[in-house]
Amino acid sequence: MSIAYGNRTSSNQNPGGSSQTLSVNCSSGADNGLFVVVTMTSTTNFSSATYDGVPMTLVSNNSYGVLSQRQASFWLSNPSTGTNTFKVNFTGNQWNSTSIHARSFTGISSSAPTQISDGLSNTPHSKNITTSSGGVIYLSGIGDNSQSFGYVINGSTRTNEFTHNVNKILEGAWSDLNLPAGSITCITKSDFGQITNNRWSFSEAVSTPTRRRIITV
Amino acid sequence: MKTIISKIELGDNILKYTDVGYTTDVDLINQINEGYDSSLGIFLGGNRTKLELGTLSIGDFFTNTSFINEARIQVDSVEDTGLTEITKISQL
Repeated sequence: MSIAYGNRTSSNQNPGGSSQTLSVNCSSGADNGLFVVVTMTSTTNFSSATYDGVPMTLVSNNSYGVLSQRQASFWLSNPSTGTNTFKVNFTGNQWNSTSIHARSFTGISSSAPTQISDGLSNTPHSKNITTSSGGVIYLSGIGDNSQSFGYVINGSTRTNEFTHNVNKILEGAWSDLNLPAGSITCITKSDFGQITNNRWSFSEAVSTPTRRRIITV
Repeated sequence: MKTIISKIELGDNILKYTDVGYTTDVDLINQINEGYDSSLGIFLGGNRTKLELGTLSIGDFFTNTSFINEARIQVDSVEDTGLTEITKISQL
């Protein structure tokens, strides 16, 4: 079954407390899933996240020390559909604006995405991640400087989803649907200087063939 | 994409957010966020360390202000939210 992109939600607000909530709409359909990335100043850490009260799986929690940033990602297979509350908990109060980007899917594998993170490197920052046939990729970059150019995934220049101020500049981009299997090049770009490269690879749901036993009497 | 407008009030010594509507008007979004940036944004930016150390309370900002609005959530869908479209700042 092919992956289809569902609804997106992006927030750039100051939690002003030890947790943050956001209304997130999950699209309905077979084999649905919800992916959320939260980025913030590393004055505190992530402890957990829930959607509609259901604990989400922590996929990654990367610290970028030079940038004083943390970026965590969470995954939930078969989430409640419609608009429900995403809640992320911190280990202490966070008084800096965070970035939250959520995307729902249908036709996606129940397994959490694979993720690879690389810290600062000169722009354009090119790295690879492996996808399976029909997969999709999310690519995120954090840096000190403006990001006026779309990221490039599998040779395609993307329209970045947002520009968020997390005391640094953060952007993110989704790939085209139906990527080929293999190693895919993912390039983050800032106008000058250095930028991180954090990428996630998602696989499509595997169709289980129906087995029939024929009994001849 | 639609932009959600949030109402920010004082909670239990934390910020309390409530979604109050949505808009697609870029001028309205800028007007709301300029209001936030020039008030609560400046307070948070200038007092972050004191807030983290607990030597200043977020309640100090709300002594003379009951609430502030912000428009920094973008969504594909407002289905099930019950939110209505805001077209003028006077509706807030």
